[in-house]
Amino acid sequence: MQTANVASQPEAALRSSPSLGGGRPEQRLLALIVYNQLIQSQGAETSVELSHEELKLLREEVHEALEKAREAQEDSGFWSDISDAFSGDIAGLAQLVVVAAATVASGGTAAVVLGAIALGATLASKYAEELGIPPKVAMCIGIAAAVASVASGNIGGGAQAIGTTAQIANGVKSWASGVEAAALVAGGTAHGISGQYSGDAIEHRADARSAKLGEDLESMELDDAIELLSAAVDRQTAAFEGTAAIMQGQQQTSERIIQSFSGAA
Amino acid sequence: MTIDNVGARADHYSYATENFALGTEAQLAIMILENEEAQKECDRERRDLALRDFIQASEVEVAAMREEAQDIRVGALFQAGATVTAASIQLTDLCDDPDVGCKELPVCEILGGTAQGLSEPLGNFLGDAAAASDRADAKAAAGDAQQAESQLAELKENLREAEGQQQKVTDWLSALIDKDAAAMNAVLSNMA
Repeated sequence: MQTANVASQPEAALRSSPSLGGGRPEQRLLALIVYNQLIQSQGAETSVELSHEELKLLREEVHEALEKAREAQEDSGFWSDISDAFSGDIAGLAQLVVVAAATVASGGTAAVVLGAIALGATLASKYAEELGIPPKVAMCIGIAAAVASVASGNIGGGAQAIGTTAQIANGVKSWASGVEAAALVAGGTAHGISGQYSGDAIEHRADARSAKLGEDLESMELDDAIELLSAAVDRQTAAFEGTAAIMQGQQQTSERIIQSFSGAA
Repeated sequence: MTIDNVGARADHYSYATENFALGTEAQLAIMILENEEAQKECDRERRDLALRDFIQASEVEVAAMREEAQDIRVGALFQAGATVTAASIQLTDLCDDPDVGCKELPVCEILGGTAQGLSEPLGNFLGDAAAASDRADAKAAAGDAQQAESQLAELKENLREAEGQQQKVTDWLSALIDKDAAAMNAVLSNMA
């Protein structure tokens, strides 16, 4: 709908209509109706323009927030992959080397069993959510993993291996432990950064949802304003038509009365 | 608006009906208009309520999403902190001279291992579990908002229908007036 046309119609009507003080009653009524509808039309028109601008801004805001959320999610995924690589793959491998070295150094089989338990429990606590393990149970498994891990490094098979092999094994164990610790630091830090980005992504989605709410409300207001404008125009047209019909009817009646008087004369 | 108010408003229209000499058809038309007007008032009230519910539910959804984000951050920070602490203890232990200190009780290893073992589940417990709860809240609120939105659309449709009905009745009234005018003209013509 061309709002300029809508506005020009009542303005023209008002200019062409006689003043409220003079003229016939139906003309005065028409002028009043048109004036009233003109005010409503102008209010609705302003509301439509404002809502349109606001809607445009809100749409941009939604788009921007969603774009930020997508970027944050990508960053989160990147850091999560790094975290998984360090905490999962590198640290897991290093732990395996530590267990193997501890077994060789201690010369026993008990360390192998405990090491296997430690690895299994570590993996179970790490992937508790995917495996459907409740958080509290996962915590217990985590503690068990820690105990088994410590035990596997310190409990031997009864007799310590001696000689160069044991020394080499101890050295490997130390280096592997160091690598494991360094990988854990890197993985933990990456996990923290990933979590921050993940939180940011959700925060941006919340911003987008909030802006979308504003957009919905503004859209409703725009619909109402357009409806009001349309109704005002319809009422103006109806007022014009109705008044024209009344005036025509009155004119016909007057003519007939005159005709009847003429006939009587 | 309460039912009493609707009645009062309807009475207002009835007053107009009773005080003017109208034909049966015109009275019927006005009664229909009154009825539609009362229905529209009810629908407007319900629409306002639905709109309020929609805004409220949407705001709850947004708040739950923000809490979820916060919980995820806290969980991640805690887990990262515990992991780094565990690794630091482990590294400190490695750097210690094996001849110094009591190696019979590997305190550092126990502490480091415990912190390491607890980091992931505690991170999940403090972060992901709380976030999942907030996510569920947000989803429930989103459902409520959607329900309110569809109710809003339904009520708007009802209002539009009522207005259409009123328009029809008004047209009918106009036709009645035209018919009366035509009859009057016919009488005058006969008189002439």
